Amino acid sequence: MSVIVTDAGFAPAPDQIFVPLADLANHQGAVDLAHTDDPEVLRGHLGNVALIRIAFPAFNDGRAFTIARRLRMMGYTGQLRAAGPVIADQYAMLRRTGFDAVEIPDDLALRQPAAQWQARADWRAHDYQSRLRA
Amino acid sequence: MYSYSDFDAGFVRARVQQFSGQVARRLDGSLTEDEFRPLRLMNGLYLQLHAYMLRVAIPYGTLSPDQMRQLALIAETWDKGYGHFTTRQNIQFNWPKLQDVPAILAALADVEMHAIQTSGNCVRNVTADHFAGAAADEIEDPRPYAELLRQWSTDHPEFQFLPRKFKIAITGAPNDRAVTRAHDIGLRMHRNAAGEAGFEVMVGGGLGRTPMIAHTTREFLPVADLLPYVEAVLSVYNTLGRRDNKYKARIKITVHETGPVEMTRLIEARFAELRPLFGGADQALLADIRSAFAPPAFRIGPIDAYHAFYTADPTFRSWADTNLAEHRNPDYAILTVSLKAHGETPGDASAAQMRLLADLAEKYGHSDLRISHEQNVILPHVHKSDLPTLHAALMQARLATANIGLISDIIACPGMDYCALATARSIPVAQDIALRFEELKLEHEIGPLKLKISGCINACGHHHVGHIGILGLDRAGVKTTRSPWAVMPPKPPPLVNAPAPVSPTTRSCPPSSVSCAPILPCARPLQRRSSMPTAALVWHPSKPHSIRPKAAKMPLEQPLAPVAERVAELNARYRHHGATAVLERAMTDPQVGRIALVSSFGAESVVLLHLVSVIDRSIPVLVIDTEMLFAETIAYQAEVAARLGLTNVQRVMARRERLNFEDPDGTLHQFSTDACCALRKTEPLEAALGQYDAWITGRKRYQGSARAAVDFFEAEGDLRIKVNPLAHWGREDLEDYMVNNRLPRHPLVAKGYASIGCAPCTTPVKPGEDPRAGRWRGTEKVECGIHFINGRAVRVPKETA
Repeated sequence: MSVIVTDAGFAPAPDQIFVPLADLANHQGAVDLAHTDDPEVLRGHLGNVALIRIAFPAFNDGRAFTIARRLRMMGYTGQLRAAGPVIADQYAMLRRTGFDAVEIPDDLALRQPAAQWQARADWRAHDYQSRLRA
Repeated sequence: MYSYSDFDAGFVRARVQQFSGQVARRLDGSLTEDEFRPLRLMNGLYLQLHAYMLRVAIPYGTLSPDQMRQLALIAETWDKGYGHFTTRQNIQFNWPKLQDVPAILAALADVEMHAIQTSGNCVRNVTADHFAGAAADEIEDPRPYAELLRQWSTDHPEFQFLPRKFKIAITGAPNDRAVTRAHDIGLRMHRNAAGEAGFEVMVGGGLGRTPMIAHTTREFLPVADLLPYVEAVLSVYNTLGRRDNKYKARIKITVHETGPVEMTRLIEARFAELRPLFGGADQALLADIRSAFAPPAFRIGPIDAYHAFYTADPTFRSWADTNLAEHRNPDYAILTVSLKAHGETPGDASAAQMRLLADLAEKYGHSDLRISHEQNVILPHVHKSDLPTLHAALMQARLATANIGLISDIIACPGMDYCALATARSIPVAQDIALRFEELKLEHEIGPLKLKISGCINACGHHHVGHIGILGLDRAGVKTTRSPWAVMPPKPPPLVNAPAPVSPTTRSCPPSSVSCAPILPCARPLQRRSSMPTAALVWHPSKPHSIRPKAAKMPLEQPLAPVAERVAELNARYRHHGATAVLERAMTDPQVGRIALVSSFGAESVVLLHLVSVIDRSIPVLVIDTEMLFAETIAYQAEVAARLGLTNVQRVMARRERLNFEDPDGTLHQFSTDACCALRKTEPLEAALGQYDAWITGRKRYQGSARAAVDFFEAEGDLRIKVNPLAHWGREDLEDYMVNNRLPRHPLVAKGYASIGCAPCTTPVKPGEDPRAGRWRGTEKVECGIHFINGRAVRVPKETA
């Protein structure tokens, strides 16, 4: 089981069928990316995909931040979800790099309840990048 | 000088709040220690040897007098009255209490300072030429770009969890005073053919355990492209940088392993994607920033007083000659105030000194102060007529040491006096050297000489880039210091040629007093098979793959059967034989194939060497030279080889390129004994054994339960056969054999070493201790990894090794 975190707080993760990148041809709208996958492979498919979930094997492996940024640069406008044991302190970073939501394991949700994530739901504030990119 | 916008001020305050919240959440268990640690580091708070250490950024090395006074206040209020200026334009407070840290951060925020990203795997404080805005050779003040980079990198959402830390240095002058080529990104301003200013971008430099010079990835980068280009570099690094090994995670390794050409291609491709995202907001901000760095209103006035003092006062003259640099305004000088008074800790400044410097900067230096990576304080704009007064004031505070650029202007890291990583003390070494040269009154005569001292391989003291670099090490529990480029590991002494063995038809043993027939209860008459080459002892000086064994003694008529099959057959055939018989058959049986003996020439190795030598002195004997061996071992190798008449001793070593890359300073063992063993023993041996179908080892059943079933012949995967002729021998058998055959013992045995490996990782054992207790003492490590199972190096428990 896992919990979905958004700016609105916690919600249970809905049942959904994800296919790994290798099985892209058979996707039903949702694709799983590993932190080592090259998002370039998705070019040409982005219009058909509604949800991309990128794995964080550990909170301190930051590769997925760059994958998210690149997907957004490639023009992807669908949902982008981080999945793994990321911590509430990273919520603003995730939102700023283009993620819409975070899927965290239940035990982490217990240890870091919704209030700790919502404390960073103001991720648009104090953001240097938004001042530099325009 | 730049002062915070409302946005900057709001950001820093919010950040202090966030960190206070993180401390509270660590205490209530919301954050685990592993989760809290990077957050703590990103806010500059280290857990050091004796206490917490707070590292405060001094962006591009620039301080106002008010900021300097606040640092003095912090030093007095929450520390022991002093601070330490570092080689990366930071100041460290070494004794704050954890509960005071929020108050310190708030006090810093009051003067527009912070400790954000002074540690952690993120973009660190951007450093710049400490003469920026004053130097005569400057094209443009680099600090506006450094400030732009500071804002861009601060809390950059994509780059807070990089593979490793990331350091950027920038200079606006052709003379590099910012060590740009030793940074992850170095930016050097120059002009193109059209006369426009831009940057040469250098990527992948660094010191530390693998020092590397950065590669130029872009000869000329227009200033407007700075942020997207730097972001492209970081983006590629975040994707490609290694995360499997902390010591191979910096971008210099990424560049090295990817190749500078491919790296440049990837960066340029990413840059092309990123460039359109920067639509000019950054340049508008840069223009604002630039106006904050406008040069001060330089005074116009006579400088006669300066010339008069210079002529009349030799102390002043000496100080002026070393501590002044050329200013872009000829009536001005750049003054470097030495924080290296002889005998003091390099880089330390007391609160009183900080206040005095703040006052003097206000009075005589247009309120501008700089901190250099050389750990001195600079007043960049001093009218020359003020210099005599300034000199007098500095003299009173013991701040007028005339030694800038001389041997006592030493860069030294905090070393073991403060640092948890250090393996040796550096401060006392620096103090002693400075005092010694002061006594000799020699340093002015010697002239410019950069001496750098690091207390460990991480090279915070920049020891790779001085005229003389001193690296502090810990070897086998002994703290030492050495100059890494001057002192290389000793080469084995040239070996005395072994006496040429006489033809076996006339003599069957080397000329020595040693009986050549092994004294064994079941000794069999020895048959010497072939005549042997009379070549002297052969030492192959380097690469394992250059080792060519002799042609197989028995040309194999048919391809060998699978290893497992042959092993089963051999064990069945030799089940009831003794060591000598097994050896002899192993060395001649076509089912075994090409064979070599691997020996460490350790405490008991001579037994097997002797047994082998009486059968065939020309068998390849592989000796792994890790270049870390005891001198006694090397001498013993020569002695034993000569005594036994071994004619084909081959030295197996790691390739020089591998060593230069993986362990350039010979200190890998301090960080990872496993990696060191793999590099220096396991990999070279595996490569050398590639030439053989079988190898002879000294493994014995008595050595422990896991070896209780050791057979004479074992399959090493499908690679080769391992022959253990001593499988059934006990420790007393070995002792008896050595005594009865009057074999020379390893000289360290008499000194209490029961098992002998490399010098740094071997210590003597006490009576009653496990014989191998002295190997890798104090660590979990018990086995070098030479023993393979199924072709792969495995670790086995100490008592069985």
